[in-house]
Amino acid sequence: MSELVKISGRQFTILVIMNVLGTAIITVPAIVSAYGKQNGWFSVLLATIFGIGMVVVYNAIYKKNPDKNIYQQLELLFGKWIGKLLSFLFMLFAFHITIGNLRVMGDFITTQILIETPVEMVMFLALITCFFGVRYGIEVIARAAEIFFPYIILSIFLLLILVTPEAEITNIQPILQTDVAGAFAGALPLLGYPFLEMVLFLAFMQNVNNKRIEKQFLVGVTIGGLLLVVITLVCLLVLGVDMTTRNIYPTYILGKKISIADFLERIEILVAIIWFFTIFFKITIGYYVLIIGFKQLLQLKDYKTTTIPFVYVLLVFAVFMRPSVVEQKQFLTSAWIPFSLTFGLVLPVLMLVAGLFKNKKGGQQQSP
Amino acid sequence: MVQASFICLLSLFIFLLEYKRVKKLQSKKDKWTLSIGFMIALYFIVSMILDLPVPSMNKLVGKVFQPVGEPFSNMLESFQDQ
Repeated sequence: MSELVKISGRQFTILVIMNVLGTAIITVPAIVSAYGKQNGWFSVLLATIFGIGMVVVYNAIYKKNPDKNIYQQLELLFGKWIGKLLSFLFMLFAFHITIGNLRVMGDFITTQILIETPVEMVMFLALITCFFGVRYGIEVIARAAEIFFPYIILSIFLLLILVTPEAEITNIQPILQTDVAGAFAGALPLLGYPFLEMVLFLAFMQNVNNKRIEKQFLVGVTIGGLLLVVITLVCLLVLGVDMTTRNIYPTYILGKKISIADFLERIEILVAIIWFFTIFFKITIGYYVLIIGFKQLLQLKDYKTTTIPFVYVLLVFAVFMRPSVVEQKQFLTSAWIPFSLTFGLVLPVLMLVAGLFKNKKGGQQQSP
Repeated sequence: MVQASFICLLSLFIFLLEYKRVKKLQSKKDKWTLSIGFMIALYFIVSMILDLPVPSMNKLVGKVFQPVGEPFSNMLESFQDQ
């Protein structure tokens, strides 16, 4: 399957940017401003720097075996059975990310746009779209991302430019003089969401047809992270700390603030356009990584075999994931942090260490 | 119940269509995986329709990681109160 399929470095960078923005673009300002207050943007900047550091680790893992995905590498480094067990746990992480994003999308649409529509129906429709993406493979997903990317960037710039007249510098003052410790703490939930989620890209990095893939990965995370910093900053400048913290989707509220000459008003759909595209690719990537994992785990001939059963399972688990948005916020600030650190930081570092030992052992065996 | 029966019938139809494709792969493992996968998937979707309890992924992750996550949560809460 994946041996023949190749995507370009540019497409890979776009997919990384889409994944960083994903759900974060609409929810992150509220999370960081709750802890860092007017310095919330600094929390995002700190998390971005951490994310860039993590990409260096992921690149090092990729460099060890550039023709193998994370599941194959796990089996190679830890042996067949432990490797399979770790692969299964990693798939649980991918599964959780996918249903989490699906649920966030469902909640957003049913609370802001289609209020009377059942959340199950919204999620089902979104999932069906992602299913077709996964079914056609990573090449088609990457090409679609390349097509939609200019619209996303245009929408982000339009949003930022149109709300600028409403910005007030006093909303972020004093800059880094009070609540600095809170700004550092506010970066914590952001490490796992969205930066440690980038570990999923190790599942198909061997499909990228570019020798400078490490650089492309770094560029993607940096651009995505900086866009998040700018959006958080604009949210704080326009809405202020109180409004940003109180709203679950402050970026969407930001769109509602657009008002030009009493003619062009409330074009919050701009935000929705950015978000629908980015979340679609985020769910699709999670789903794809999960399916590839199953193919590797069960040694199937075709990865498409499990795609349809997973539509059902993902939908049901997304529906029963949590009872409320408040509970999700609590989860993000407690269990999610060690959960994401386990798979996004501990597992990759373990893989690096195991790789070093394996190299040493191999060298010793070869030397006599 | 009508809803559940309809979903079962629809799933059977989808399964037969997909099985036809998987059959061409000439892989027993793929056939078994699809069949068992569909049964599990059907169990979950029918459970959802009939309002039966379905495990929550957040609860599972919470059970395992909450003790480690508690200090993070307490620390973040202290900043939120300020």
